[in-house]
Amino acid sequence: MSSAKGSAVASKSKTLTFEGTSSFRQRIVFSVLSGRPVRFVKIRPDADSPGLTDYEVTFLRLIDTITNGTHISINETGTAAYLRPGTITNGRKLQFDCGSSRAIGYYLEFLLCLAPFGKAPLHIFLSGITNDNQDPSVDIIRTVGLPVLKRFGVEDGLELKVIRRGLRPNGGGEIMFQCPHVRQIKPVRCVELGKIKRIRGLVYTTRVAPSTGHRVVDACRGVLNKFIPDVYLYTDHYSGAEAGKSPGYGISLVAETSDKCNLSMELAADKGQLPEDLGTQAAHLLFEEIARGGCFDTFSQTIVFTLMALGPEDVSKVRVGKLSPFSIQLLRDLRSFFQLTFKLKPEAATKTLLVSGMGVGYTNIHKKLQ
Amino acid sequence: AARSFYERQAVNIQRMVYGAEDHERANDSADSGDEDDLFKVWSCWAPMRLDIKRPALEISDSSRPDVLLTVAHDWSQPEVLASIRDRFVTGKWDASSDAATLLRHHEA
Repeated sequence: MSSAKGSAVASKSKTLTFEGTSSFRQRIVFSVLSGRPVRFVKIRPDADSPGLTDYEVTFLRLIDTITNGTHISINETGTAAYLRPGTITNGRKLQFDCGSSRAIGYYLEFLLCLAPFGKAPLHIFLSGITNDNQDPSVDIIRTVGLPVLKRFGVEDGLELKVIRRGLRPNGGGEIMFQCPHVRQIKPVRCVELGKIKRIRGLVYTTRVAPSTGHRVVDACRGVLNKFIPDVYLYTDHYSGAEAGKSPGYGISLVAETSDKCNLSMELAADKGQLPEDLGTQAAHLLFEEIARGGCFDTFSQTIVFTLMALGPEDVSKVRVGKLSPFSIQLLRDLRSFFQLTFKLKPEAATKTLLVSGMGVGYTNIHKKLQ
Repeated sequence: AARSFYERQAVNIQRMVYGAEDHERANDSADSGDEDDLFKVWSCWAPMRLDIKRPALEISDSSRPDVLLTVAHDWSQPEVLASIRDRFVTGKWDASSDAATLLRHHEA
């Protein structure tokens, strides 16, 4: 790297420095979107295995895959990292192995926030773990995350396809994700709570008896039917090569409101957990999410806030339930990178939070006007 | 009194999220963009970097907090179920858009 060029970039935009790697992904993504270099210091200096973890390095590799001109450097022990962002190029038929430390959702979640601003549409195959209990699964990203993107005006050709399931510990799943690029996203106004009119769900089973799926469905539907008759739970049994490398099963549920908002919940079975228990627990967890209120569930807060911030200079307003600690840090980081604060107003009657604010007016100069 | 309580809370949430003091921006630095900076001594910044929230978040960089995996209420209790009944189309609507009211309206 030529130091002359480096200083030229740095003089335009100041480097942000963070200690540790909490909120690692969002800081990198905001760095790419804002063009501000970012530096991480003191990354786990006292841990048994100091420095960046393998999934953090994998995330950096993914950023390197979809961008051009990004400069990443990591010091010898891995306890410090520096990233000077380039432009988002995206591309077609990209292949990326997410490894088996974190699920595909760990990477895909923030890809949703980056891909619409690329030079070209994104078409990528991601392989690894499709479902676990640590990260959002590909099912929830497809059923809840993509509709959120559509609300912001990212629509044509948006697609996510599960080619193979991959569960912990060995993974072996694969998905295809396709996302168009846009010139500018639309502001969103979504404050009406609406009523839940239907519940849809998907029960996947891999390398276990297909009847397991039906047992989950029966238990879950029994609980959900206390509220609403319009419950449809699909069972999806995978066998052979499509089933990945590990046995298991799980469920994802989406409650759809009359205002087309989705509240979601998902659960993968623990070792030795009975299908009936999983079904009941899943239904109860969906009730918990409904009780939290809001037009967007806890999972989609990340994408909603990020896209609100990148929207045009027009007011966006959304209603959410409880802010998760992750979302709170996200809001703080949005301020660090974009000097942007949202107005947060709790509403007593519904116990929800109204979040409103202007976007920074991010325009994708690579996408021509139609 | 209730309204003033919530107005006060509004300020509090804003402050809880964004903090009274801007500690993140203190970390902004005009740097030379040179790689050697990685090995510079940052001791002069140390006091600005106190962030009590950090350890909690360091554990898991995930948008699915543990709270999403814990059932906090006993959903076998009828009164607990009743608390969210009105969030469904089968529950009670506003007086103006209630199914029974609408039906009566149509018949009239």
